[in-house]
Amino acid sequence: MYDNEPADVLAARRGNTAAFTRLVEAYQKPVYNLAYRMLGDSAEAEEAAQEAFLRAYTQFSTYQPGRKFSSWLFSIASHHCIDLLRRRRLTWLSIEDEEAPAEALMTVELGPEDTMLQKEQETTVRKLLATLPPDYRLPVVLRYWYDLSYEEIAEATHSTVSAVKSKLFRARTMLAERAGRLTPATATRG
Amino acid sequence: MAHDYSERMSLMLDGRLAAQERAELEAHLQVCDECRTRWVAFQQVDRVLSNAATFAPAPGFANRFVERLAKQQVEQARRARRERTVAWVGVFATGLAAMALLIVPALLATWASLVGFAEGAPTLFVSVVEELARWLVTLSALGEAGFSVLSTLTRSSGSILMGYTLMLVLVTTAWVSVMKNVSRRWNTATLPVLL
Repeated sequence: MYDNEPADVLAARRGNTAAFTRLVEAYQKPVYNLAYRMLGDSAEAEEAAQEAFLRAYTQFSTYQPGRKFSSWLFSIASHHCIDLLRRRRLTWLSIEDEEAPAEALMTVELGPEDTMLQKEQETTVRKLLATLPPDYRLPVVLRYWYDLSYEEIAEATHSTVSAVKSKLFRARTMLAERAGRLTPATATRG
Repeated sequence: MAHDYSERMSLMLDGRLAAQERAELEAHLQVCDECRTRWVAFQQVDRVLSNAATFAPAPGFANRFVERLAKQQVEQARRARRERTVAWVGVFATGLAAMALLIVPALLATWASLVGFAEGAPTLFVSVVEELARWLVTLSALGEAGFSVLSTLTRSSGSILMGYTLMLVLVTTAWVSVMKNVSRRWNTATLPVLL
């Protein structure tokens, strides 16, 4: 949250475009990153993030002032991404068949050696996330990239804490299987 | 061995395990190879995701948003204008139709009564005019029932035309009301005010 955010949120809720643009500037990275992590493609992430902000602008009357603005915004972006994934009837790509994603911009400048390592790690992350169904991918993204609590994830996903707990557990089990450390038989047992 | 520690592992990674449960899990991991293997896998996944990069959009994202918003607002304004036009056309068309429906038979009946049903007039025409006249009488009766205040007037010799007038008002008002509701649903700004 930046210093003037509460005032900008109130002004934007009254239809002030300049105030909303400042909110876009402040939240463009987290919203874009959320979309990128959900969709796995930079062009789609840009489109989804733009659309999420447009929806936030047109639906600002639904925002309750007592609520955390970022949670509300992430909720809109998350649901839009899940809608997109469902609409395109995503078939979860196998690691072998997956194509390289369009290049996205990392927020941290890296040296040449680091870049190679980072690219490898990024490929691993992207492949792992791609194995998860959208409903499981979302809590993982919100947990790891936004450090949201179970309660905040439940609020952003219109879910319950116990459902979030269960989805994170199951997602980790799937990811662990995919990472090759567990056999499927081992993972599903106690 | 029957055990269920996987969910606890997930909770432990998120720091949501109570001290006692944590101690139980750690003790179990000391003696269970299967769970220890799973725990290592969970930790590995946790490490990979925790160290993953955050991505930013290409420069100019906010400017692109402003342009997109402006375009959307222009489009919305255009759509609203189109919907207002449709609503207006609907109002006038239905009003005109209602008026025509009521006035044309009245004029025909008036003309027929002035001219008289001349010898040799086409039979079909005569029967149509007679039918219309009967219809007018019915409408007049309805008008009288609905508007008792005007009963004196409607009992006069011009009762047929008065019934027409009342029906005209009723039908037109009903249509305007319908169109007003339609325009409200379409969220057009000026039509309800004008109506």
